[in-house]
Amino acid sequence: MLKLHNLSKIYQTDEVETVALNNVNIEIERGEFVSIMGPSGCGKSTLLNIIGMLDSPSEGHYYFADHDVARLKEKQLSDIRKQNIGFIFQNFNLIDELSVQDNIELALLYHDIKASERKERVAAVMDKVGIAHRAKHMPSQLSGGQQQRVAVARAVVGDQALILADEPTGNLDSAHGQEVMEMLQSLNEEGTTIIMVTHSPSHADYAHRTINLFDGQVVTENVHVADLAYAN
Amino acid sequence: MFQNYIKIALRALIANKLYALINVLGLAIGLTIFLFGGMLANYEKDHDTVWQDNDLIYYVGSTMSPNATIGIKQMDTTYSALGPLIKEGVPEVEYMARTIRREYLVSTDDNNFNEPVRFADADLLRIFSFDYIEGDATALDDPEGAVLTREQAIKMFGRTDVRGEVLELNHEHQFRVQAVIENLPLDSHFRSNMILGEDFGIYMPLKALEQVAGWEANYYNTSGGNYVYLKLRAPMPLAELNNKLNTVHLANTPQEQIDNFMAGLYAKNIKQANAGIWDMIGMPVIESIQILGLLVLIIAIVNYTNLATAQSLGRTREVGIRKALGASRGQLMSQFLTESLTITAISMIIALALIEVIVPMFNDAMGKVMTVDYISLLPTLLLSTILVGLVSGAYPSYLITKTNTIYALKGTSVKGSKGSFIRSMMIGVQFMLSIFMLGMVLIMYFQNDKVKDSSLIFPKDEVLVLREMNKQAIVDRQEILRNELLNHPHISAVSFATQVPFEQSNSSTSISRNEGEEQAKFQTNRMFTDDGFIPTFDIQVLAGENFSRDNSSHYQSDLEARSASVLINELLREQLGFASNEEAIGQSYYAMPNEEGLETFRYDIIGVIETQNILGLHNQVRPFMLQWREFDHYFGSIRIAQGAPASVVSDIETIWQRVNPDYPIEHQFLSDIFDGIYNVFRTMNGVLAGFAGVALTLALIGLFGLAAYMARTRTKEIGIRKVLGANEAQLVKMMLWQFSKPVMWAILIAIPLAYLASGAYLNFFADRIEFSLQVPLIIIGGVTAVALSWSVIALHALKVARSNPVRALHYE
Repeated sequence: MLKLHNLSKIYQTDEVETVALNNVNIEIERGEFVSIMGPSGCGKSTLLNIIGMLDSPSEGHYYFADHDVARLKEKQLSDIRKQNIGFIFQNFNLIDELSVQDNIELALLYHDIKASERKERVAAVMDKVGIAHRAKHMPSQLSGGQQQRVAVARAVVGDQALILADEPTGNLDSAHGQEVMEMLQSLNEEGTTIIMVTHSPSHADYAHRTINLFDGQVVTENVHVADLAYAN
Repeated sequence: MFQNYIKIALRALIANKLYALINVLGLAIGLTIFLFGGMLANYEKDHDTVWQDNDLIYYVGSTMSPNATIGIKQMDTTYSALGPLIKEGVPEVEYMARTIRREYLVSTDDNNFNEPVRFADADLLRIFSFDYIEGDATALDDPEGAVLTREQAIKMFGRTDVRGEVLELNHEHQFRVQAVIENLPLDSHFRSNMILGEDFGIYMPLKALEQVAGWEANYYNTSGGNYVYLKLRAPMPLAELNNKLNTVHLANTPQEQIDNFMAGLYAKNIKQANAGIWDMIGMPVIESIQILGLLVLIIAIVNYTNLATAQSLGRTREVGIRKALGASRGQLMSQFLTESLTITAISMIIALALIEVIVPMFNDAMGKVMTVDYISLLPTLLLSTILVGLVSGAYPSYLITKTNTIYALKGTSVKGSKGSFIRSMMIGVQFMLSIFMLGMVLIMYFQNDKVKDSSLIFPKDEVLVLREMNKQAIVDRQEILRNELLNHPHISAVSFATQVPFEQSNSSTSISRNEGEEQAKFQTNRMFTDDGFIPTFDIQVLAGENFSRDNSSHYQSDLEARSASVLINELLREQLGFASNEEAIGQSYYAMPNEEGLETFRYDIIGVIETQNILGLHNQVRPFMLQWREFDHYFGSIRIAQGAPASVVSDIETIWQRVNPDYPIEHQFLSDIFDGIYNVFRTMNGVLAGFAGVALTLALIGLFGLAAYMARTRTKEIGIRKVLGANEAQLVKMMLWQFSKPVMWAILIAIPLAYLASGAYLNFFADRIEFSLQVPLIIIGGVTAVALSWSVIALHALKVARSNPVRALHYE
């Protein structure tokens, strides 16, 4: 599905040159569930942002499907992004002024979809994540777990093939964290590719494999035993 | 505590230099314009305070009858015959003086001068406490006495000790200088009115005008600026004075004149004389200046409020800390209000500095003597500083101090639908005012253009106008002058007339289609001229013929005769009820005799000319008749052939010098006469454009601040939308759309307002721009304001939309 080849990211300020990613090579197949781990500042979020086409690499290549991402214009990037990628954030990033259902619908608003169809799809995805009874509520009236479920709903409502989750459970207690992980897992079982940054080893275990980053480099890749069946 | 507030206020200003600069400058500009507008209006309304007992000095004006078709609703004068009757019939009046303005050739032993002379009743000097260099207030009691101002004495004699010197009018009548007075103050109605400043340096007794020109008091002749002054013995209610004046008027003025011309009298204090010209025209210019000043100030305040709101957003954390440390809401409010008061005070100081610069420049340019009198201005300054400070600071301080302490500490932005409603309203007000002003500017501009265009019906660059042609010696040699001029190869026509195009004259008479039809009579304007008028001004004769020298019946040589040949315009032909121009030729109409025992006067139509607006800019097109008769022909007009060399003007001067060696020539191109009047309107347009420019600039600065505010509050949302696939165009559109609702409202309100106001303005013009142009112009004004504002917002929006969403999402 995507392939990073000798990819580096260097942040340059007046005095300091910070290497966020150094010569990273990663390949991720369709249908995989990959977690990325590592200490703070190791480049996890940078990596996720580049994969999500929110940021661009300094060197190396990034192939998404058949596209060489570096060659695409802003408009094309935004098209690929909205058709293929859904995002889930640690701090949910819901719009405070919009209701649950409007927040979810937002993801369809930029896809030429008729209003009636949008309503149907939003209703369907709200059922799926179990938030339908809160459709008219504002984000501030929800618990953290509920907010993240809304965020998940928003990430998948456009039938995105890839979900990028940046510490989706970082702001949640363990029960709610569990809930969200199970939701991601079931999405993955339905065929969605998931790449997730996390600090929690137990949540990382939900993935098929874990990529460990340290100082911008891939240190190890563990393939989880339970998933060997899949790997084969 | 208060000191602490001010210290913090100043620190906050220094910390945010750009915002502070925009805030302070915006308010300073608003305050400058507001203060200057107010000062100018006060100055214009408060003239003539130098005279002793000025509260007892009045002038008598008159209200026009609805039947009077002269384009004005009131005059600042009345019939001369009423003056002595008022003095007699109103015992409270101590002194009365009429004035009549005439121009004469005034000669000393060595020199000739064409000078305006004000003939006045002797009591003029007892009404106004002039400052005498020589002589005293009895100077005009001598029927051959004269009073000169210092400047006039120096101009004519080179010195001021000229009491006893002789002045000669038209080389015929001798006067003796009895007094020399200091120059009349610039802030008196004698010297200045807002547009047509005219200087009078010579005063002579009105009695003398009877000898000099056969003048007599009458009930038919009035002319603006020929004041009738009263001085009361003691203060009395104005209504009572007006009643008494009208009693005199109704008892003495012929009913015909009351019905058709001068319906009633009113008295106004002398302080109002200066602004009286605008009352006459009915254009509230002074009030408009004040209102415009206030509108600009409102925009500046709204501006400040918007910017302060945006800025205070960055200080929620500070508020949170203060609250946590025990500050009450009241204390925080006082802190923020102290800030806005400090900013207003600084702005006020800058505004005063600007005023100190502007006032002398304005005085120089406009010949005024406005002064900045801080003592009388102080209450206004204090009050407006406090008011502006409180009003502009109220909303931001309310908004920021109401934030919940915990949110404030976390630095969460202040939000809420109520806040956005008030912000929308503020944008709406700014847009409304800007659109209103822009619309007015455009309409005035196009109307001026229209006026200029319609003035092209006359060949104004090819007509040289001579003035002061009514002096007997010049009239006597008129035919010689005409023939000499016509002999010049580049002069194609010469005409003498009571009037030229663009010069206002309301000479009119009552006529009817059939003899003695008292009920069906109506007013028509009339002009006395000769056969040269039509070719000189390129006026088209549609039927019949022009006056001809070969036909002796065309020329009314015998003033006792009760009939005359006339050319009428098409409008008069219609009003007389003739079906076509051709049908009117050879027909007659009649005028009532204005004295008992005379026969009716018969006018025989020999030609019909096109209907043109001879009276100039702000008059309706009127029925008009031309009559060939020698009658005080004040003007001479010389048509210079196209392509004539520039030397033709000096040739004309030479010819004049040969024919009239004793009189200086007074000439001017017709285009200069037009420009003199046109410039008033152009200046007004310029002034309004200045106001609108300032207003719009302020509004745009305000929007810039608001756009910054908006961008800041919505950074995260925009980041999310971008991640979800919104492209730049969609985001910019969304941010612009946020402003569109208040803008729509603003346009909806501004359009009818501008329509009404511009309609009132356009009514002053005979040849006004069409409705089909008026409305689109206002809409263009609206679209321009909106487009400019959008481009300001779009700049911000684009920056935000382009920013990396990653940064936006980590913002919290």
